[in-house]
Amino acid sequence: MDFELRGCPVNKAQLVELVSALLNSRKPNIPVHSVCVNCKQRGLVCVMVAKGTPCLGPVTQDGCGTICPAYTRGCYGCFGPKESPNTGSLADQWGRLGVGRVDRLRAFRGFNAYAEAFRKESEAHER
Amino acid sequence: MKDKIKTIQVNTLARVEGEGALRVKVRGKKVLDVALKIYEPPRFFEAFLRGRDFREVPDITARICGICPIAYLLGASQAMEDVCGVQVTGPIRALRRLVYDGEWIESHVLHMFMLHAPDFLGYEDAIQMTKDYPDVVKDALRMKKIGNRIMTLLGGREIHPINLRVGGFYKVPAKRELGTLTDDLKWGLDTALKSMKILTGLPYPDFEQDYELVAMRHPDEYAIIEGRIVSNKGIDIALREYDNTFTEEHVERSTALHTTVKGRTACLVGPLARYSHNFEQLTPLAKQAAHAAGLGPTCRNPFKSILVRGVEVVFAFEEALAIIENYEMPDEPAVTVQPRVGTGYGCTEAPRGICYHRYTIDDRGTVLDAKIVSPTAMNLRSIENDLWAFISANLHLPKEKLQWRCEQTIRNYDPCISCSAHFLKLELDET
Repeated sequence: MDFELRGCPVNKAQLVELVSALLNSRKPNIPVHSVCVNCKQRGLVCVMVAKGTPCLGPVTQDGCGTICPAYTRGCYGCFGPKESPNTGSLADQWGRLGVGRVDRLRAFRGFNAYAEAFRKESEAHER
Repeated sequence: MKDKIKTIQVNTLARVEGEGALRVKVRGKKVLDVALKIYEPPRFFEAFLRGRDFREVPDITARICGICPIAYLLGASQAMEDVCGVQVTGPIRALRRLVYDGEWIESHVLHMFMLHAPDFLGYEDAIQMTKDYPDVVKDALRMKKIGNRIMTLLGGREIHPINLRVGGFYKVPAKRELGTLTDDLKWGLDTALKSMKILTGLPYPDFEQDYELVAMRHPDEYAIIEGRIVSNKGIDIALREYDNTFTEEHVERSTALHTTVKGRTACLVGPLARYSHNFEQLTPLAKQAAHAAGLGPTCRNPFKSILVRGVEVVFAFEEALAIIENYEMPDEPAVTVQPRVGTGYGCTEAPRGICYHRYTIDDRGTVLDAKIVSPTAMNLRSIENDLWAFISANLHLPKEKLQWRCEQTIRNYDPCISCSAHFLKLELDET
């Protein structure tokens, strides 16, 4: 495998960018930062800070266009972990927002349950 | 002289969603065997839903299908609302119909013009068709895009939308936002009506079957998101009676289960069934379009399903315009749903036919059991029956032509193999 496009579904613009980059022998411009970066760029209100809505945005790779927070819901991680995510710290914050152990486990065991960072974090909530 | 066995074999069916194959064995004038093989790996959705929170289920079931995610989002949501004793009414219900109209438009137009029309016009695919029918293909793409726009506006994105939930939506649009769709919808309605004229002129084989047509029926509307399950052979049931009426069986040739009517046999779901049961409830322009296309109040020719889909596209555009016209933004985007122990049922009319959900949850909302029946699983036996009948009546055709018609017979159903394997390739064996 040479490259992985994230997301369920993948983002159309990212697919076009990847094909275009490959055709022109250049590196694809696919960011690996978190959903939060794009959320701030869009000027959206943080759903976790402002409303206490649990959000996986801080540990999830950008690329969807920050759809969920734009619709006032928390990100549920369908683009998988971003580069070096601090999942433990986010899980603690979710705990402080009142999210129980089983729901924290479920959150990291979604569409990217076997991605290393998410897998380890979900296992930490197994006991 | 003993006749040889001849084989028609299609190893990978094209222009269907997912992976399947067809193998037909013929000796002389007799069809010996028809096997629609579904070799797409099973996906185990029902198993991995166990242990999840009931509110997570619609986001997971949406992933069953990239073309009809609303059927899986909404069926699951309604089943959960059924367990918890919640009814969703008013503008939230209207928005659910609107987003479903969007799904019908994008799914039907994709199948009619990109997958099915090339069968009638003799092209390998829509790209080849574009050389001679550039405007037809361009208009179709734009109609599909309008369906996608509805889904994106209401759902956040056209594939696996994120804005639908148990109880309603996360965020509902202001009337002004919905109004931005109106010009596109008007263009879509005009173009859908215009495209019916092209479809009416296509060559249709003279072929009808005595189907058990199964669809949803609602007293006040062309049923999509709510109703009883009815058939022309005596079924008239509430959703909770589904499992007493239908049965699923495992067949060796298919990773998709075959659904049949208990004590009888195959059933047919989808556009022909909906249209034949609910014709009177179509919108005025959709009825006119059906008359102009030469359709009566019922249709049993599966090749004419492309016409019925066209009628339903007209309907969907017309209804979408009416919903937007009458919309008043609700105070809350969703009804609050508290879990309670029990079993709930949900069923909606996916573009390909009824899509049934049943879930059992505990008092904390944890899913204990899940059952999902895709429309294609319900149609598989009817597709095989159509092939038996069509091949038996058309053995005089040259093999290439017969194989082409066999593939078309399958595509009449717009089968969604990936959904059903939770499902194509033609082998004609003439011994």
